[in-house]
Amino acid sequence: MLSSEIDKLAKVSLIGYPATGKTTVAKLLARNEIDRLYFPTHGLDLKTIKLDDYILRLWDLGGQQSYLKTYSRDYLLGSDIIFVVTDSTPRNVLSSRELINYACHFVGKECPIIAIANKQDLVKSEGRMDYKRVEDILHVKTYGLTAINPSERLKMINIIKKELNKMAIRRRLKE
Amino acid sequence: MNFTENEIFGAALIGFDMIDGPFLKWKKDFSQVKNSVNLDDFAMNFYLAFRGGNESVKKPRAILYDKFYIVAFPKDLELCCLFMKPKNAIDNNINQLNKIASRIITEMEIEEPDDKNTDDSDENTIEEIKRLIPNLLNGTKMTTPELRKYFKLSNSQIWKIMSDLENSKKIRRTDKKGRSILWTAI
Repeated sequence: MLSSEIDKLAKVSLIGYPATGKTTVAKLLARNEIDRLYFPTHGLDLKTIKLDDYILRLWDLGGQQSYLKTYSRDYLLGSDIIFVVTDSTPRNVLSSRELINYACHFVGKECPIIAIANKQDLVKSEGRMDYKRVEDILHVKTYGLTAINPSERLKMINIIKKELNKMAIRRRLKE
Repeated sequence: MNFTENEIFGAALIGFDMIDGPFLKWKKDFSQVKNSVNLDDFAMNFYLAFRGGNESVKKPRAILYDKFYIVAFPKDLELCCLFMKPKNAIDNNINQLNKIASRIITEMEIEEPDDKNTDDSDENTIEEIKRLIPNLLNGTKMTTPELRKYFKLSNSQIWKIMSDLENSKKIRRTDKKGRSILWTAI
């Protein structure tokens, strides 16, 4: 692979507890069909997505405790961006705070950890937290999302593009 | 069956807990041959080897190791693994092995005590299960025994949870499947 091609590779990891919507976010980005049936990801699922000049390797990590304990250390290494996905329920948001602290141990400061406050369509009907409230608790940049809505793909793409631009600057500064 | 005890030397049932992940649910040695694999340690690796990733990805039916092979049969979230000595071609045996795996799963369900693995279901775990069940029932229907398989819960615990979720209008009864109530998310 040419060095210019390597420069355009980015590893994006999705972590979070079970049923928060990590796979749905991955499917949203990959333009895969999104259904409402939930089936847990076992271990991890990899997807490759072309975004402008970039080739994104999406690592969708299963949220069960044994997967997180056993594999997250190795799988998170080398990540360029980590998304912590929460379903915006108060309990899950608080648990996600622990997950962010955990992820911080394995990656350097140059890898941003960003929260996705998913299932924002349920803020009013089910009393889930809006993304600003989630951000106050998690203390990391947080974006609200409804990943089951395909029209939110552009929003997610723009979030990643913004982070990729920052990543490109960081890489240039390193050189 | 046409198999001798020497051909199948062991079997294991790997369950899946929605919070903890894969765990060894049951194992049995059929012969004197010592199983060279520590199943307690390797349950998760086997589970991932046969079922890793998402449902749409193709999965292996058998994995051949140096001196033995494993044929695995998934059923719902469980995985029944049969440990074999490589004497006959797997293709010829696969249907018979499938029947054995089904029988093991059925026997396991009959033998399974009601209060197995349920002591450590603390309040946090119960609350997490309450968060997960509406997700499992989103767009589909499941009976209480089917749902119970996803967690390490006793019959009474799952009923208490279902009742709480029903009262808080997160789930509702839709129909009956045999004697069991079918649930769906609201």
